[in-house]
Amino acid sequence: MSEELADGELIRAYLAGNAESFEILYNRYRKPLYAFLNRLLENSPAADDLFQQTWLKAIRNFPSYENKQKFFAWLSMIAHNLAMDHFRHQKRTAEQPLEEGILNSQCGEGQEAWSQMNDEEFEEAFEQAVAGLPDEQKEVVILRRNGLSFKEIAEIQKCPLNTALGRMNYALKTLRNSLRAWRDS
Amino acid sequence: MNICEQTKIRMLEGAALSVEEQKHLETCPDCRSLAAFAKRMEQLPAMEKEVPAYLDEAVLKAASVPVSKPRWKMVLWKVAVPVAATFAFVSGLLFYQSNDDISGQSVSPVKVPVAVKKKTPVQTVASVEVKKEPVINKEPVKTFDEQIFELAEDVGSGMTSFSETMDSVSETMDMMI
Repeated sequence: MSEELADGELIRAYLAGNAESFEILYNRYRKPLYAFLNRLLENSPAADDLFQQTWLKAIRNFPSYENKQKFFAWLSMIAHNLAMDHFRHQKRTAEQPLEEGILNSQCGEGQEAWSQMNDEEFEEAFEQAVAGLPDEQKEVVILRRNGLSFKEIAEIQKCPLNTALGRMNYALKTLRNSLRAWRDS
Repeated sequence: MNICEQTKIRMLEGAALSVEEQKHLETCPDCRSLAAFAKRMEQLPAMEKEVPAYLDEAVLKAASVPVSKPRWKMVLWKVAVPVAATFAFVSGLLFYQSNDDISGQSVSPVKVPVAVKKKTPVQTVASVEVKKEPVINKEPVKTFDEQIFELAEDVGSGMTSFSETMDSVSETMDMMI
């Protein structure tokens, strides 16, 4: 089985009885999905359970997968829904509305501390700062880093496109501030 | 939405900036900072985390069981239901059309099997093509066929189905003869 096959073709081959095609698909997305869930759930042990559940649900729903959508976006949507169920179960507040005026970030200076960091330093600080973001913003940043478009992110979060963009904007503002504090500390 | 926010959103979206937004970007350090930050974020290595072996094993084991496709459900929803709906619709249409024909409201001709009395005393059942015509009492004396047709109309108006109507017509004919 060729490693070059598109996701849709691999799913079709798997449904036709070729188990090897699933393995290729799984190896393609297992690490990004695991990273996504771990960041979303702040490295909680529940991430392992949700990772497994996501794949099982995906396998069950392969017959209904339409090739129109990116496979990772589809997989992320399943993972997102399971994570939301998990949050609801944990009675965590999933929705943290954006405060009025937060989007109207004022033009300012002195937020360039991150630009002084080397790559390793920046990555470490960035990961720490992302962990501190509210859930929706954190998810937007993670999904964006996994190459999803804002339209796909909005579909996953079941929100308007502008809301997803607003969350990203606010997240970046918070991240820049966090990175400045990280540098200062 | 002010120009600063608008420019940031447009940059995040990857959309082309308008002249006004470009001007703002040149003069706003915060927007420039955000653009540079977003760019640096995109340059970060892909987010990956090593999956524990036991998870790989569990998922691959689950995947080795063939997916049971709900074929019968698919057949039910995609074939059987539309066929049943079409059948019900066509049946209904035919039923109402038949009733209309008997009550004389339709203009299409219909073949009504009726018992026809001929010169000989032997009864024969024939298929007589009856073209719907408004019954007008121009002549005081009606033909036998007209009387039968009128009778069938009277009987048929109270019936719920074409077959019941036909049965009633036949019974009435027997009684008359």
